[in-house]
Amino acid sequence: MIMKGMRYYVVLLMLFFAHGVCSAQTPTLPDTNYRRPYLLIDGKRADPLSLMVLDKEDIRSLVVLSPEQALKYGKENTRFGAVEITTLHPKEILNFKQLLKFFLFKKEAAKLSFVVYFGFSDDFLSPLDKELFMASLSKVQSMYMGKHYEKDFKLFLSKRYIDESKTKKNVLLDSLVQSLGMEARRRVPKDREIIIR
Amino acid sequence: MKGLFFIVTIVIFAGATSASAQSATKYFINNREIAPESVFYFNQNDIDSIRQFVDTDTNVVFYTHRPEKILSYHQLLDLHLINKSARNLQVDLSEATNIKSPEKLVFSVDRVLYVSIIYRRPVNTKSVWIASTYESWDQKSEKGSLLSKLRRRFNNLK
Repeated sequence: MIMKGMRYYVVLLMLFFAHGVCSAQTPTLPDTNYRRPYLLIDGKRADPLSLMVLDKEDIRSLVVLSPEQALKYGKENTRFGAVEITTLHPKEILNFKQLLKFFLFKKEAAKLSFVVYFGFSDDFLSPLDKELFMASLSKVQSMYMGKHYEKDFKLFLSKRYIDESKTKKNVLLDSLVQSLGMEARRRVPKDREIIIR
Repeated sequence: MKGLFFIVTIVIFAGATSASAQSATKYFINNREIAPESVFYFNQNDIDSIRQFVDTDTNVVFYTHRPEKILSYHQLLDLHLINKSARNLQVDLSEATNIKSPEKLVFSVDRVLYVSIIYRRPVNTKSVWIASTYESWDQKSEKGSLLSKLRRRFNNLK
């Protein structure tokens, strides 16, 4: 009887051990909706959400790498491939701190959660690391502190839409932006979904 | 010809009189003069009573014993973590644009949804946009109906 009980404990212990090994091997990702590639802008790591607000006019070249090709940047965070971007006008691309300064926010605003708002209603996402976030100035419409369904204040960056020509580089960036847009839609809580018939 | 001159004179006089009557309306909160556009941003519960005094000028006075609930424009910018450089920018509201004396604007805290710094292209200028929450003035109450009337009056002046 005691032996039978022990067997369960051994099985449970093994499962617990296996779970530990698996989680140690899996890169830490926020959740299953996360499909963002590893991003490099002029050789420096940037938050992938920056793709949403980069002006095509500021980009010299854009290369998309498969997860296998992206392994040169390490195993962690390259599960969804990588994107290498070189810029034409680096001064026109601002990082998070520069954006705060440009939009006349006090330094305390840097402590707030940061959200990029890029469309209607629920089209918003947060960067994984706001310190690595970058945006083309021409693509930023406004910045403000607001709540948007939440209890706490957050810092919002609102995207500006510009008519752009359909070159190969632009189409490639558009498809990356669309996949980020789909992530935002997957995150919408079911009770807030609006069905248009 | 004489008749035409008479009519033109009457029209000009009437226009000038109505313009001076409109510009003579001043708005106050307790004893402080405020910008008329502030009326869009009052929470009914923050105002105790509204009185209109007509003398040579028309004075509309909002009385409150909760002045801490009413913020000045500069206090609002501070609350929204926007620095002092923004004080010189053009100010637009949800209901009115290019406010002439933004430093005289006052706001009920709850009526402000957000304060946004807008970057205008291709002119490369910045401006402040103050968005308001949905108003919930009780039209059946004296205060609510008076606030609505003032709002309509202001809209007609635009």
